[in-house]
Amino acid sequence: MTLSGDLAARHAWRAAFVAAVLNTVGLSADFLLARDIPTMPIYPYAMSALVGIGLIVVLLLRRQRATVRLGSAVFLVNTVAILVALWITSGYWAMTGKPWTPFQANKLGVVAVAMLAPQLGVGLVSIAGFAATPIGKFHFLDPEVQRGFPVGEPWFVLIYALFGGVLLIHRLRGIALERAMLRVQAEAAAAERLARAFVRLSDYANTPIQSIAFTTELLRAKTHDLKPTLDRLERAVEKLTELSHALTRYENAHKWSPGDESLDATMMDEQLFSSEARRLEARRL
Amino acid sequence: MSSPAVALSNEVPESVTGTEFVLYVEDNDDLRELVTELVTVVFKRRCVAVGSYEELVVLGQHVLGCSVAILDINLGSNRRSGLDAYAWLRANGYTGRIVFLTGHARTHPLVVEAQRIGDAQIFSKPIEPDRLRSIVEGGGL
Repeated sequence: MTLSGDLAARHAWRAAFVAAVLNTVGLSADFLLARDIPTMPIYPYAMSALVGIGLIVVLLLRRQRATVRLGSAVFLVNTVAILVALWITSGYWAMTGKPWTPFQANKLGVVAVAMLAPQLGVGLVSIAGFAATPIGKFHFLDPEVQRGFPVGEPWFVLIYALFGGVLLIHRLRGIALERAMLRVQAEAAAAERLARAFVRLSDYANTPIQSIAFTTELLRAKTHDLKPTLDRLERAVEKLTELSHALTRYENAHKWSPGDESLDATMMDEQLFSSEARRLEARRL
Repeated sequence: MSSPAVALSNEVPESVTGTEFVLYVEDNDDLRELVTELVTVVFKRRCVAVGSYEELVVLGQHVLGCSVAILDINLGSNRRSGLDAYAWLRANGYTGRIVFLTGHARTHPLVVEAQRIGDAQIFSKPIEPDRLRSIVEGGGL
């Protein structure tokens, strides 16, 4: 998996995990607040909290194999469980006849989604869900109950949804920018390592190539019998020289650090090459 | 370590002076011996070749009469470099031409430092034998 992909998967996993925990804790707390309402059923809270716990277990089991798709799916299932629970419980809250601030949980949900959603699509759908269910529920309530709602309700949730959507986009774009920067930095580091390896390789090869070139010239001066052979050797040296020059084209991409420019670095390279040469020699024997 | 000086006849002549003498400082034994042989057999010059800065200093005044000094820039790990050899030669009154030969990239700090020296040319390995001949004979480079 790529660095960027790995980060996205881990981010999605964590977002889904936090959302499931908030579901479990939040709906349990809501139930405690609602226990004075005689007719309030327990099953919506229990259902949502159990779904949250189940999703936490799923996420823990898949922690090492996390994907963005898994995180988004869990996040969406978690949202649906909360919406179902809130759809049922909000009706009971509305009908208590006592002063009530409508759909607080939905508004909180919008904010939580803006801060947690792992992907834009999942986030927007979740925000739309948290915004649409209060409005839908409102229209199913008795007109008498509707008239008891504070001025502007349930439409305030749409303002929350608007702000939540903007915050969500802002947050995800920031994350995307950070990931792009990380990717560029990783690519630059890889290019630097490659350039360094090429420059070292060229440095290492130049003296042996020089020796072959001079040996060829020396043999040419000493004997004329080997001319065709030495011509071939000379052409081979030309090819090796071209290769060495090609490797040094990357030298400008290599920034010499204090460790590199010391001669120890050269010795280290030579030792590495020598050990490889010894290994090949041992294999031949 | 090899003997302090590797020369054409395994001895440094009493009087090393004139255009026929070439000083070569190179830590790679094979290349040093090859260049020595090439210079003497093919280019018909005499060559005083040493493997390190310390060997150069041991020869002392003997090498100051050479017409050209060819210095490898990197003379080995944790060893004095060809730049030190250059500084020693100039400090001791050497007035001949000095040429650096290097297998390192142009951006290597030692090579960059060598480029700042105004009166020395730098050549990257591998050079062609004809180029070496030009250097040795003092012709157009």
